[in-house]
Amino acid sequence: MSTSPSPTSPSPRLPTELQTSNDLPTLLPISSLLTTQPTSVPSSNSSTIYEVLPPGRALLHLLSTFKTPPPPDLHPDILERLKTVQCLALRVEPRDTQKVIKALAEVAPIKGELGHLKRVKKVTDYDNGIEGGGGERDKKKAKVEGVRPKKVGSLMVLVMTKCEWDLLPQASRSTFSSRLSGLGSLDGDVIEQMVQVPVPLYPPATSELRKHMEVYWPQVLHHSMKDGRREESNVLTEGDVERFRRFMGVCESANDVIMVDPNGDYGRGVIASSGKAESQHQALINGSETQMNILQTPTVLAIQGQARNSRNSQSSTVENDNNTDTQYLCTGYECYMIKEPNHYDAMALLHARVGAVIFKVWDKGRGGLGGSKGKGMIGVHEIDDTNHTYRVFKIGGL
Amino acid sequence: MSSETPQTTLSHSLKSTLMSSALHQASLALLKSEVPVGCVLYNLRLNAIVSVGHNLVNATKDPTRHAEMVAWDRLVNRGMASDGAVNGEAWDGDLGVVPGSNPGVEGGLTRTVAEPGHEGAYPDTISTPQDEGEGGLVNNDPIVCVVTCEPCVMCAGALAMIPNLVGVVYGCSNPRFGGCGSLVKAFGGNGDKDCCQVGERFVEGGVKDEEGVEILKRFYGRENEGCPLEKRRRKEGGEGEGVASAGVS
Repeated sequence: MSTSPSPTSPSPRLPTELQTSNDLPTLLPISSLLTTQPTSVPSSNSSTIYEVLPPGRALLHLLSTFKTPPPPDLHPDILERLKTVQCLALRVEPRDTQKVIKALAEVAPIKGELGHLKRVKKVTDYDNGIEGGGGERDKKKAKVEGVRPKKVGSLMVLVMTKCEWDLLPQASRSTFSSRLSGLGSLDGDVIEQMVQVPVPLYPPATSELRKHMEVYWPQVLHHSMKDGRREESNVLTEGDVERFRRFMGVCESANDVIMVDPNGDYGRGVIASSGKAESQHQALINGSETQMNILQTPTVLAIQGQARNSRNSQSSTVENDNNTDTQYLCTGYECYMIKEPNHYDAMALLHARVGAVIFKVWDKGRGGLGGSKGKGMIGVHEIDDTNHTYRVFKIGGL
Repeated sequence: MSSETPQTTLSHSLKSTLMSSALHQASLALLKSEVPVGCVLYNLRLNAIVSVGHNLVNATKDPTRHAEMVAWDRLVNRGMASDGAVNGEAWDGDLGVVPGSNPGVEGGLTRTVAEPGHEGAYPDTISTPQDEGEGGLVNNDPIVCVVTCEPCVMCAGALAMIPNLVGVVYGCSNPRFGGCGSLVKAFGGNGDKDCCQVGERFVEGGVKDEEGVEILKRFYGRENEGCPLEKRRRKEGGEGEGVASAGVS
């Protein structure tokens, strides 16, 4: 049996903006993330919004679009997550499954590297009289030849990786064979009956990835995916996009960094700003301005502005116990800026726990959100295992 | 940069002395329920510590108040956070100075660093950085940052922006947030993350690292009050897990 995708299947065309290389961040047009399509599609490239995706998230979106096989020109990190490994499996009758699984648990327990896989896979074949036949292709062939196929259900039980089997000593193989022979319908040489199957090498990062890779072999749903937070956070509404454009306009008018509460009313949306033009700080970096603290970047000042709000709010809480403001730092806020933040600013935003960063222009020299990938610098939002992360959007052309 | 040739390495005893001062700052943070990371800024020309700082994230509700940032702002903003300096406000919160508690360094005062065995040999007259002449300490002199824990990506990025910073010496590494090699190499370079020379700058880790870890463990043995509740629950998994969490620079 073969579950690998047909090599003749046409590979879906990958949109140009999704064809990534090592020195460019992965971009996804916002239109593909909307729950409802925007009523007015932007005609000019300058107002198009892209999400700047870390490889794992890019994978999630891409796999919801493409069926197997994956396009060959995907980002290497994504292709890595789609890798399979060759394993050996036994076909058993459903009534014998429990006995076989029990025996396998003794002689070939599932080890850590296959811990994300289920032991058993359902297989539906068609008995069409073709020798060695089965599967969809033979079903079609049988139909052409006028044979009425009969649906046959059976199960495949995972044994171990092909690599492990090759390294297994002869004595262990004999033990394996003798333990399984005679169990239900398994008779004769069990080793001869084993077949090679490709199975997913890595645990699924998302439920969409799990669906995608289940073509090969069913996987265990990881606990952290059950809450569905990742999936929910990907959904943008038309209102989100409209807000991005509106506040980027505010940001450009002020030539400043602004912090926005996406849940606030229009008038109360802007929570904090630096009060300092970005160009001023650029002058300091260039050396034409020397009187300011070089670490007083507009982004950090905007974060500190919110911190000051929070301290003031705390003071008023002490004075009159009615204040119920429990905002922790900048949690969930959106930060708008014209130029991509550098690593200093980008990590400050992560510490502040903002929900999203929206900018217009890449900084290919020092950008901290993927712009300086060409120099080997990872984007801050791509770093795994930090205690927080945020989404990144770029408005305008690539 | 100073006209003098920048010193690219520090003697072992000097690093040890400076790290002791940084660890003292970390202990002050611990007393205030802040993540215990301490930092000193050392002026190579003056052979003096010109600023000190420790984490003040919880006290100020400002996630950028890591030890390195506090020390730098203290040097150039007279102790105020950047926000306070821009708005013309003096931040009257606790800056972490406990007068008389440290024989070496307090309150942004300049004191010559004594080699071990001569700890009492401080000058009779002490001066604030601003008294050393316009821009003398801030703009031109080579500065070394000594910090008890590897600077996070934010702090490492900040230090990399300071033109007269010639080196970073840190204690324990910071695998979750470190910007000097653990996650990002903010100073560039391809060498060993614990000790590398990047142009005129040097980065060196592992100085008194066990003491740096020990004081962090003392803090994470109890809960970080500044951490949101949902993040605290994640730490129930095991001892020592999450040493480098919110507020660790």
